[in-house]
Amino acid sequence: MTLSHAADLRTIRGPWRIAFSVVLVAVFFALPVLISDATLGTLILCGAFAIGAIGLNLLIGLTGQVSLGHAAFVAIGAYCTSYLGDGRGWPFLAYFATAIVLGLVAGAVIGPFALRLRGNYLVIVTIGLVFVSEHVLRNWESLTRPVRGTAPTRDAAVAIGPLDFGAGLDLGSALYTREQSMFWLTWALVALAAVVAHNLTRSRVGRAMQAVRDRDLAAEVIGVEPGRTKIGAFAVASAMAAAAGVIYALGLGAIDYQELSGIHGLFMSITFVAIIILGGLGTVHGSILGALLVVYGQRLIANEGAAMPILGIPVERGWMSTGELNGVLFGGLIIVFLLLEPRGLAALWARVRTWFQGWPFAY
Amino acid sequence: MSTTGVGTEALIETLFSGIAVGAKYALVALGFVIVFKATRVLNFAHASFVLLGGFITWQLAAEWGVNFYLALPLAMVAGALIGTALQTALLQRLLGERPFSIIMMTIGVLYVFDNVTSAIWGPEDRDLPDPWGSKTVDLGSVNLAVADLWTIGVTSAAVGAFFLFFRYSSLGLGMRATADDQEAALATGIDARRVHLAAWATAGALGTLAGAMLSSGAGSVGPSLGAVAFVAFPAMIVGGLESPVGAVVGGLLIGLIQQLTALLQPEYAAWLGSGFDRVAPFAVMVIILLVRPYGLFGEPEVRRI
Amino acid sequence: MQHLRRRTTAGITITALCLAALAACGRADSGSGSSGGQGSAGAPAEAPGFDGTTITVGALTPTSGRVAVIGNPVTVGNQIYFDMINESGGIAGKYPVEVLVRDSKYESTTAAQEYQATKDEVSMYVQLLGTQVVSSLLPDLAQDGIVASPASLDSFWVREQNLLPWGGPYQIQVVNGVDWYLTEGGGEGETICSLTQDDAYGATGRDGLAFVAEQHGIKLGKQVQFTLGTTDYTTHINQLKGAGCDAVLLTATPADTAGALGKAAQVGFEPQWLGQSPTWLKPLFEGDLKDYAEKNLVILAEGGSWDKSASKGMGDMIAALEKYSPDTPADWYLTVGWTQARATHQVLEAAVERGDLSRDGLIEAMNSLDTITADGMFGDYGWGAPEEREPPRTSTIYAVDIDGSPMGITPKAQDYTSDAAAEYSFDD
Repeated sequence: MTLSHAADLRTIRGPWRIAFSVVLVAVFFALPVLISDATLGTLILCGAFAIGAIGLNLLIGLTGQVSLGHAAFVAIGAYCTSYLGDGRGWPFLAYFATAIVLGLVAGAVIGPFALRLRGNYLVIVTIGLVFVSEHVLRNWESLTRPVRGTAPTRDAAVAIGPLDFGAGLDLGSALYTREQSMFWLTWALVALAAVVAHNLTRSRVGRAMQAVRDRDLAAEVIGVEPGRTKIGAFAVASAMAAAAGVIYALGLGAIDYQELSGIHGLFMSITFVAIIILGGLGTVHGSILGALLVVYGQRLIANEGAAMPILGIPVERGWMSTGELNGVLFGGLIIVFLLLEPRGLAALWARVRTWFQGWPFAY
Repeated sequence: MSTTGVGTEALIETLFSGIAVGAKYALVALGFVIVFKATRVLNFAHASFVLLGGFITWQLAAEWGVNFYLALPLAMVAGALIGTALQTALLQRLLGERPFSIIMMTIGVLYVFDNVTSAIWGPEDRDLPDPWGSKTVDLGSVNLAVADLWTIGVTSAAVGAFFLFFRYSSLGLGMRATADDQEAALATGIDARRVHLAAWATAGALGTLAGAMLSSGAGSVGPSLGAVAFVAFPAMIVGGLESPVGAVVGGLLIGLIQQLTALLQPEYAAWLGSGFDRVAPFAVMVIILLVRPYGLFGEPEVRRI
Repeated sequence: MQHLRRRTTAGITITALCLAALAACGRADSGSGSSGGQGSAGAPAEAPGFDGTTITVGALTPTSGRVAVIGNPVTVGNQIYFDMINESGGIAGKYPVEVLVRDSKYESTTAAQEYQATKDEVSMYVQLLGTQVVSSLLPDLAQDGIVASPASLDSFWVREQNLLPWGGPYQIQVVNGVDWYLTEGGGEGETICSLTQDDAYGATGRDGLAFVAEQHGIKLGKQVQFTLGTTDYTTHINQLKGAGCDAVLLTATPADTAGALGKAAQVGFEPQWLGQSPTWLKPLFEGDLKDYAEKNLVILAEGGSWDKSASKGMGDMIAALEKYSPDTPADWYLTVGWTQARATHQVLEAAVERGDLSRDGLIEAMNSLDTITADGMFGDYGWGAPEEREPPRTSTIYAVDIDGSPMGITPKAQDYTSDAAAEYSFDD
């Protein structure tokens, strides 16, 4: 319950949220010191997927325009990193900004399709996008280097002013590894994306998006331009996807066009959509929770899988490989959430929060 | 035709192979369309029907030695059962949900089925013991593969059967009525649940048939068999999501376009890049949708405020 | 309400400062682990992947997805080799080897993550499968100083410090195979065409073919490429047939081989097919394609027949397979895994002998070897520092013989070496 306009506009509301924010900040700073670089590497990827999912959630959850072509825009960011960052030696902010601008432009170019197409037709056209981008990437050899299989991103500079995240931060008193430094950068960007999305949601634009989602003809009647709103949503989502692509590329060290387009690109797009379903449609923190669940969960299975009795490696082949188990769990989670908790982790989270807020009067 | 390598004979054979490939796409697209027409579900799990269908047919015919002509209908029955099970256990519960949730549900099913299939049968491709093999019919200058002729025949038969079914059987009429207006159909006493079950069973059987036909002849049964379903999307879209006739026309059109592109594009339009035949169906799809946003045979949606 | 916001900001700032102070114990220099490890001779000190008794080696390979059909037998080959070694005590008779297998799904993304998750637990990698996987991990291997054996026969690998390749590269396969066809195979003056995958692997075939054509001064016929996922090969086959090809180099994977050959059989196109080693998978050719493949297809690979008396390596491997993995069917890829493990064994043995199993120790041990042998299963690899390495330049041309050989292929021209292959340079 908010009692004033100022309180309503505040990003962080109430003592519980303040306490929680403090904990989050504490975790953000402390985590890299406490856990291994390999785990940090996974969390950096989680961050990349979270940024992409936050953008996609604006498009799907808020504006109601479904896209299975998100990977195509991730590829834009990834190849900016490889071509401009690694190949041309551009500074981080330059290729990062270029990626975002190209993402915006590409989204705005694709957006008009959404004006003519609705529902299922739009979904299939966006699938077409990942196959068309596969063709373009495969034939653009100077960019994707199909003969070596992958394009490098490792040597792209990741420095903002004196802070060199790529080489590892040097704070005078202490040196940090690349993974530790990239973790801080990545999750700072996740926080930035979350704030942008959160504020967008609460703005005039955000309300227009929701109006378009709920009834676009009605929205038009009350003065919202569905065309501009849809194109804008595509542009913002694509820009965030491109930003995600930059982090994804930096986190991996090399990128392969076959994993960003075509059938694997479709799978990646599906992963983004699954993240926002499992996390919670239309919520910003849901996108982050979903990314952690999906990306970190898959890594957990891969790491611990060999010890599970039903899994096996070929020699003493168990019932399925870890890759197959991950696929089954991924599909199974989507099914279970859609049936039992369609509003995702965010709704589960809300329940826990309500319980704590009501404590000790749990009614 | 003087200096290039594309002769009349090659062109004729390519046209035939375009029709044969197109018939396979049509068969896949038909299963999609039946479910969509009756239940408004864009069923990504249809790719799993195709994959499972190929493997079940292989299991029966190769491992258990069942005669191929018997194994095929048996596998189709199994496919129909899987289709109905899916509808009963999962999809029915999402009735009336946003199309997006329903699509994601079928994608979840796709992941589960694909990985379980690969856990059961392993990753290797295998030869389906179909009776057609690499046999051909020789028509003077061109050879036609027996397996392709069968595919064309089976697809035609399936389309014919659908036409009669929708036209004359009460269930078929019910399907059409439900597709047009679910509430009105319910009011006239049509059991929508029965209609939905029938649609899913049909799709399961058709998917199985498509899987078997795709892996017959020069094809093989393997973990990527289901991927063809994604190429059938353009076929389905071109024809219109709700039109069985459209699915067939779309399938044939896409098959012809793909094969002709593979033959002609490297000669005459090399600047489009290598492998353009794979992306041509999607390009055609996008162009058609821009002109007709509901496909060639689809019905424009009436939008209410 | 304004004071609340100020308090929030202040709170966050304070926490941040506290934590920055707490975090001021960086660890950038703790993870390298490449120095030290030098124990007294005969008893190496503990090192990554070595706990004093057991040596762990990694294998990043697809155990799911369509390439698992190659990954699985290679991994079995790795495993049964070390099973055999461990039974006699292990490396140098005292250090047993354990293989840590992780599913790469044939994706460089997944492989990169698996690499990060396993690199501190392994001495070296006995297997990294896939050209794009190896190429994306090379800089990491160099930075971490880790040695890995690629399960990919690309010629790029020959001069890499951190790689332990085996066998003649794909280009050599093609050069020898085409040379054999032009001389002993009865293909003199015939038109040679190609049907290749349009990716990195396909490029190795086109490279080799262009090189051998230049060496022989012949003009090539039609060169056709196909894209992975092609469902129908009619147009490709028609183009080859229309161009009057007498022989076709085939750079593909098994399902595509079966698709292309099936279509060729249907249209009555019967050139001499020259298939690179990854085109072969026996079960696909046991059915309708059997007669056509036996008549028209040869496989360009390396090694001998599936016969215990063929070579020491083959004899050991078949015995180990019968003993440790009797359910695994005969497969050419088992010999690949076996050869990788054999090479890994030699490096580990040398490192133990020098008493240093650290990252640097392994590299030095590897560079100290003169030859890496595959016990006659594959040609010996001239070894040393990267610039001295000299891959075997022999290939074996196999005929398809489904019933006659457990692998389905049997040598037609064993250990074939051509002048053209001797000319091929790995330095650019």
